[in-house]
Amino acid sequence: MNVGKFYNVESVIHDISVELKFLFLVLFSIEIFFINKFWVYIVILFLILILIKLSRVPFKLFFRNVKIVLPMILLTSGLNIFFISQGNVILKFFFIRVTDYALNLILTMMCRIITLLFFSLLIMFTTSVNKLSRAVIYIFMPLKNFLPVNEIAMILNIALRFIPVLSDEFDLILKAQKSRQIDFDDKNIFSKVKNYVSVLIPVFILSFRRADDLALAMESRCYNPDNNKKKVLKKIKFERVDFYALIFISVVHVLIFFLIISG
Amino acid sequence: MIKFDGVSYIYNHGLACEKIALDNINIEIDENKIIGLIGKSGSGKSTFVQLFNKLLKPTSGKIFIDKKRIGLVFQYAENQIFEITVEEEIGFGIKKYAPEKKIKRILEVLDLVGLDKSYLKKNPFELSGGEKRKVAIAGILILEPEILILDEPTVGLDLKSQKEILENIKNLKQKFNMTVIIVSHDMNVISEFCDKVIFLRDGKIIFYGDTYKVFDLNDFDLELPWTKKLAKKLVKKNFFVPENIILFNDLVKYVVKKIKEKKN
Ligand SMILES: Nc1ncnc2c1ncn2[C@@H]1O[C@H](COP(=O)(O)OP(=O)(O)OP(=O)(O)O)[C@@H](O)[C@H]1O
Ligand SMILES: [Mg+2]
Repeated sequence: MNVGKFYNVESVIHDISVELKFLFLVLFSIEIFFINKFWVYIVILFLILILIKLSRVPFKLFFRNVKIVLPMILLTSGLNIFFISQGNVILKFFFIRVTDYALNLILTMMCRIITLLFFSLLIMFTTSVNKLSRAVIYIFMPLKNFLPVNEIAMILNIALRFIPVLSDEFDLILKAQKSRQIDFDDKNIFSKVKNYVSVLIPVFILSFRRADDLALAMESRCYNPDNNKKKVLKKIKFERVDFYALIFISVVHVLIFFLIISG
Repeated sequence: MIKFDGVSYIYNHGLACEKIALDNINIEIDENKIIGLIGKSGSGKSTFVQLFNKLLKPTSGKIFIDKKRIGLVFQYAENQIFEITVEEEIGFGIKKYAPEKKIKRILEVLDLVGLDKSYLKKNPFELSGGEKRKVAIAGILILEPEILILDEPTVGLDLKSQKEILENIKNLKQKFNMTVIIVSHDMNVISEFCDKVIFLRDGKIIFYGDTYKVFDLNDFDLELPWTKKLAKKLVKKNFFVPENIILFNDLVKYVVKKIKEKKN
């Protein structure tokens, strides 16, 4: 399984500094609420495809991750059909009326989530955990008098690092239980739930034990979050690729901005 | 029939991080024998055994196995425990049995792994690592496998428990005509308990044959069992020992016989 794992290859996208990637994501997630034309999303999706190509991360990794959340997206946006009655009715069966307004709204909503998901995944796949937590420290640094920024970064660092470990562990225990004839394709929903419990309990226990071990190991190596400060506070260094990225980001956002006001 | 025909397995196939774990495996494994599976860390042993009960599907090649019940005890089997009593944990695979029959079977397998019935109502999470392992192994044995595969069953157990479990499995095999496959890094275990050995290196089988022969391979790069070490030392000191003697008892018998012959 490959859930939210850093994909370690060399590419332009990998080289761009995390701070810029985050900047892009933040700007984009604000703008996205103002884009309500369907064709704009097609253009953005096209852009995403190019970026994925540049990042050299196989497309099927994205697809696998999107596939997991797709049912949820479909369900939550699909439900809106029943509750929106504005607009002209274009479809009608029994008591359900589908209006053009609702359909348009649902489609754009789905596009929003999916494009946002793609961008987040792209950042996840192309940024190592260390860089991510460094970025978090930068973002929260102004609050350092109120928040234990270094500790938060450390927690995040560990949490992100253990996602793939946990997903591997889940896989392994699932296999172990399968070889005990526990049937995970059981039609009966109750036995299905019960059977998955046989995987979740061991995984929970293992992760608690792991957390315990990790805490001990860190303590025995004299972990002190304040020691990190010096290392972390070195200047952000911009490479040439970052300037290109900055230009690219500016162009994209200016374009989007014009699209928004012209619409 | 247990036959592998040009089987390869590649992790993360098609990605940059792909890893060939098994490379063109061709083998027909003898049945009703105890087979040792050896090789360095990362040579593909765990991958190989997971192909037996279809937990992994080969990337290419075909596997022919005409048995249905294939029990696989995983490396660190104790991690799969989830029920709150030993009884329920072991009996999970035979939920559909009538209660009396079920408890009878549970007691049988409990005995096989060397635990007594005082364990039945205990909480498996409060047992020691070795005891947990035994419970997990019992949970597989209760399914009456026709092929029993143990991935490093004895790591972390005391020597007495190791021996107990392996002796019991040997008896079990004789009683029910099982094929047993044992993955182990411990050559003493392999030499004492296995009839035949599969030797993996970098995902390829470089040897399949009688156990005593594997230790005489020119490029055998694992630790020798100490009976074999002793025999080699003796041979060096001009005390001939046939190369097919690798069992502790055989070695003792042979040496005693030779010494007596000399005296006469
Ligand atoms: N889930 C996985 N994803 C990617 N690669 C894997 C995975 N599991 C194993 N591998 C790789 O496949 C190769 C064979 O692994 P395997 O676990 O079969 O070795 P092994 O012989 O059982 O080793 P050990 O004696 O340490 O248990 C190793 O190089 C390992 O890195
Ligand atoms: Mg292994």
